[in-house]
Amino acid sequence: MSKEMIKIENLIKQFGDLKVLKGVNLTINEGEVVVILGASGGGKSTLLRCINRLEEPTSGTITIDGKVVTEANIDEIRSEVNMVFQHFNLFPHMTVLENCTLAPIKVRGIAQAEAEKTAKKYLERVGLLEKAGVYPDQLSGGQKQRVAIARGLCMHPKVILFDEPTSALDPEMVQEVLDIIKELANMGMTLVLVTHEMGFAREAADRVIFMADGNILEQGTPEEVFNNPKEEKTKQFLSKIL
Amino acid sequence: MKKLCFLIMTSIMMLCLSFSHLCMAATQEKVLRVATEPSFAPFEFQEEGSGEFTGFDMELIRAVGKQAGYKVVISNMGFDALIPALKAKNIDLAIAGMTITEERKQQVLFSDPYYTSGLIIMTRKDNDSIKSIKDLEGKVVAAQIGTSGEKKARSIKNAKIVSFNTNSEASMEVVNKGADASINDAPVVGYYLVQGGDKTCKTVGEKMEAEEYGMAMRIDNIQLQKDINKALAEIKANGEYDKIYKKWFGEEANATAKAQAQKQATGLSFMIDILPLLLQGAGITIEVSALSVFFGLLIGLAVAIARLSGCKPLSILAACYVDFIRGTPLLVQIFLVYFALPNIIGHRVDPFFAAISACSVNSGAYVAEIFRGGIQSIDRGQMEAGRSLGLTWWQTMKFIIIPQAFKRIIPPMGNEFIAMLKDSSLVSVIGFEELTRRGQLIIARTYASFEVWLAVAFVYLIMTFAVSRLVGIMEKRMKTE
Repeated sequence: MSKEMIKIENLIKQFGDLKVLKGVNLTINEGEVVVILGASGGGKSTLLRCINRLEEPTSGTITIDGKVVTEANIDEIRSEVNMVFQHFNLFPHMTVLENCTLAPIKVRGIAQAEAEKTAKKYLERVGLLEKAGVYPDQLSGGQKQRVAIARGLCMHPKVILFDEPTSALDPEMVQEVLDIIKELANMGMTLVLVTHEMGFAREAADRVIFMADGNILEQGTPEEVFNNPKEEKTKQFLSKIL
Repeated sequence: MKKLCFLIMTSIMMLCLSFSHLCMAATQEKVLRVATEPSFAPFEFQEEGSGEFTGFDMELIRAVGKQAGYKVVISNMGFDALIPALKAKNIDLAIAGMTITEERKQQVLFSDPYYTSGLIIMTRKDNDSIKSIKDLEGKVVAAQIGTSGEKKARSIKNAKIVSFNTNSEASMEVVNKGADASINDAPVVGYYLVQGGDKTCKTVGEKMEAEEYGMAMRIDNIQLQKDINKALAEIKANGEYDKIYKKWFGEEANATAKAQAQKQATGLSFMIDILPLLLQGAGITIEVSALSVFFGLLIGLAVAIARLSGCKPLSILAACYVDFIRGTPLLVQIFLVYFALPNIIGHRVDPFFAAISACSVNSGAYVAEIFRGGIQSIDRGQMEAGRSLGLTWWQTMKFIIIPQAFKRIIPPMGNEFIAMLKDSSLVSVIGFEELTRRGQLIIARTYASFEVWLAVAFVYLIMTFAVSRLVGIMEKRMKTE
C-alpha cells in the first residue's frame, strides 16, 4: 500500500449562495497521476485551487503528506504543492532564469549559484536551456508553459497541480507540453490535472475522476471510465467530447 | 542590487538635504527672527541683483537689533501671515510698515512708533472724477490684504473692494483699469510714482489718518519689547535713525529712485537680467518638489499597501488619509502645519520642515491612489503564481507585484511631479522664495509685471518640459528592459 499524499475530507466551498463543492472526499496516493474531468461549472478548478488554498474552503479538511492544511502553514505547504496555471503566470519583469530561481532563493534560502544550477537543469529537461536569459514575452505559449513547469520543479515539489495547462495554447503547441507532463508522470511525481485532453488521460492517467454539480460522480482507471461509464451524466459528457 | 543601491543613496541624500536645513536653523544663538513682506518699497523690498532685503524698515531693524545685541535673521512671508506666524512662535518680530491699531494690539505687542505715515488715494491720470474719498462711493477700489488701506477702503459706501497679496499688484490693477483707485500708505504710493508709475497714475486728495508704524512682537514677549524700545530710543538719540530716514525719505532719496527707474532695462534685456534671480527661485522650487515627491512616494507606497493589505483597520485608516488630504486644499494644509501645529505641540515649526511635510503628505495621498491603481492593474494570476510557489503575501508584493506596478505608474508619477512643481508655489505663503514668489518680489521693485510673469512662465515651462522628457526616457528604458 503506497503512501497517501493528498486526503480531502468532506470539502465544501461556497461562493455566497452558490455551493460549488458539496462535500468532496478524495484520496490520492504518492506517485499517482489523476485526471479530473467534467463539464465546466462542475467544480474541477475550484477543487484544485482549494488543495493549495488559492480558494479558502468553506468547510472540510485537506491533508497533504500527513499535514492538515491551515492558514498558518499554508506558505510551507504551497512550497511542496506546485500549481501550473492555464495562463502560465510567468513573471514578465524577470528573465526565464530569474523566474525559476526566485522562490528557491527567497523561500528555501538557497544560494543564488546553486539555485541557478538547479534551474538550468530543469530548463534543460523542458528543452529551454537556451532561453534562460530571455524575458517571457519573447517565448511562444508552449514555451511559456514549459518554463512555468520548470519553475515549479525548481522547488522540488511533492505534488504538481495542473489547471487546464493546455487550454490557452495553440493546437500545435499542446503536444510539447503534454510530453513534458508525461515525462513527469513516468518519473513517479504525484500529479493532479484538470484537462480536456482525453488522449492524454487515456494514455498517462492512473485514475480518472468525473465531476459534476460539485461532487465526484464516478472514478476509476481510464479504461473503466472511458469504455464502461456507469453514470448517465458521464456517458453524456463523454459522447460530446470523444 | 544596483537599483537598491541607487535607492538607498538617493534616500540618504534627500535626508541629508532635509537635515542640513533643520540643523542650520538650530545652531544659531540669540537670534532675532524677523519676518517682513518685502513688496512694500521703500520700506522693504529686494535689492536689485543681490536679492537682499533692503529699505527703511530693513535698515532700521538691523540697526535696532545690533544695538540690542541680537543677530537679525530676516525671512519673508505674506502680510496676512505675519501675525499668525508671531502667534505660532515661528518668528519673534514682524516689521512690515505695520500700522499700530487697536485691533492688532489685541493680538500682538507693538514697539514704540518708528514712522508716521498716512493713507493716500491713487488713481489714473486720465481720471478727473475722483478727487477725494467721497468720490470713491460705488467705485472699484484696490488694496493690499490685511492692511489699514484695505480697512479704510471697506468703510467706503457701496465700494467694491478687490484685495491683492502685494501692494504692487494693487497698483497694477489701477493701471490696468481693473480698479478705479487704490488706497495705500502714502510713502509706498509715492515710491511707486517715482519709479515710473507717474506716467499713468497720480495721487489725489490729502493724506488720511496719520498712522503710526510699529514693530509687532508676541503678546507675552515683554522682555523683547523692552529691549527693542530701548534700542530704538538709543539710535534715535545717536543720530543713526536720522541717517537711515534721510537715506530713504530725504530729497536725494527721490532722485536716486528716479535715476534707478530710468536706467532700468526693459523688454528682453530686462528678462535676461532677472533670469539669475528667477533661477535661484527655480532651485528652491525643484528642491521642494523633488523632496516632496520623494517622500510622497514612500508615503504613497506604504498607504497603498496598507489599503490593499486586507487588514481592516489599516485599510480604513489609509482610506481616511487619502480622503482627508485629497478633500482639502494644499494651501490649507500648509497653513495647518505651519500655524496650527505649533499650538498643539507647543513650539515653533521650522518653515522648511512645514513646507516639505505638508507637500509630502499631500503628494502621498495622490501617489497612494496611483500606486493602488498600478497594483490592482497587475493580473491576479501573478499573486497566485507567487503564492503557489510558497512566497508570502509580502514577498510576492515586493518581488513580483510592486516592480511591475512601478513600470505602469511612471506616466502618472510624471504627472504628479509636474503638478507638484507648480503647486509648490504655494509654499511662498510661509516665506519660501521659490520661483513664483521671486517673480512677485521683482515686480514689487520694478513694477514690470508683463516681463516678469512671462519670464517666470518660461522657467516653469523649461522645468516641466525637462521632467516630461525624463519620464519619457524612463518609460522607454523600462520597456526595453
